[in-house]
Amino acid sequence: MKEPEIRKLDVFLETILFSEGKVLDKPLLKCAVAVVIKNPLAGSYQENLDELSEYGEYLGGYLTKKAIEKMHIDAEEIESFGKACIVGVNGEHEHAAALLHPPLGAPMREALHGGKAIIPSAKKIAAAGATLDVPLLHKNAMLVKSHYDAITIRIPDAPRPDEIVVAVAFANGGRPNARVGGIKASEIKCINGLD
Amino acid sequence: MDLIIRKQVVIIDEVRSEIYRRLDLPLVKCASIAVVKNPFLDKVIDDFSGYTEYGEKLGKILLDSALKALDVTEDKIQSYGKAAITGIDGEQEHGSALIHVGFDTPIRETIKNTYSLIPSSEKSAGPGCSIDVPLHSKVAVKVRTHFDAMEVWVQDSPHPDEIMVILALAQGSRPFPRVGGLLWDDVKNFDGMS
Repeated sequence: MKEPEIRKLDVFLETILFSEGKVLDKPLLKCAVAVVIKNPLAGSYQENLDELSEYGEYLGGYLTKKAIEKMHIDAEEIESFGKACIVGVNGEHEHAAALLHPPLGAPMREALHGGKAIIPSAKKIAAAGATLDVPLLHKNAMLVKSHYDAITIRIPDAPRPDEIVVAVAFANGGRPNARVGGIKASEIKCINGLD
Repeated sequence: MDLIIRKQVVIIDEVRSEIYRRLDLPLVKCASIAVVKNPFLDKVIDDFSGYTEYGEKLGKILLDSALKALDVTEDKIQSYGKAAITGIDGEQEHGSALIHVGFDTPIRETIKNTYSLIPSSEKSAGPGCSIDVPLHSKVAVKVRTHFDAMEVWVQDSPHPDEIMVILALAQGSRPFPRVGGLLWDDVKNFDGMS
């Protein structure tokens, strides 16, 4: 685990109170927390991506704890999660994979005190100010249709060409007025991460 | 007064270094946003100056949400700004009515020593349009280190029949300010200017 050089930290907190003509019984709280870090591998091909994976291991816990703090709720109240990266244009797609895939998930689950489902992810190479749709699904069962969602974020000045934006996102419930059927969150068995 | 808030958004932008030179204190900026149903649609209103309740309510909600998200007390706020985007079924003046009538009252009640005008920007636009919310010192307009802005954008807002109202706050100056002028600690007159 290694702490990266963080240029900035951005928090996006959405509270959805009203949808389709009615006030929601429970406001839907969605939060994405992103850091902008220097990409130590920008500009050259490196076979070994371990340095980025070490950053990922640090950021999984750090970003998740920050999101829980900003949502002002208990970790157990979080129902869905997701993660995503934008690599600045001097980096490569695989840099995002090194950050997100081997290491980021375990410390996220640890900070959430659970989470059996796969953490959905998105990644791209883009210029500063690009939007990033961080996918969301139910933390314990990826077939729960009501919780398929995303939160869209954008940082006007990031990533610079030699930077990476790393984001995690959480929600305290499914989509407002979800009604496309499938397994309900209240019916999941919470064993295999699927249903 | 009926004011329907569809969603609230808080964006925090914390700058820790600039060109990899670390700041002693991070610069924390925050935009607190409410997306509301336009209360003035289909009405002919010649004078909005009596509609203080909307602005007062929004000013309070946005400030409370910002301070809660930042987890700071009011004295940590050094600069401020406000903005409105009116959805395209309304007119620009509808958004302006929400941020210029009553809006400042709860902010000045809570944040002490606010002598300067609260700078603003306003326009009418479709969902996902960005707006640059101007920022300057709460004590004196001419504090040059604190002239700044925060770019704000909410993917799905405002719908045509909505207004997006924004309060932006900052806890400090631009990173490494060095263009001279009046400094934060040198304000003397407390007239809002210098």
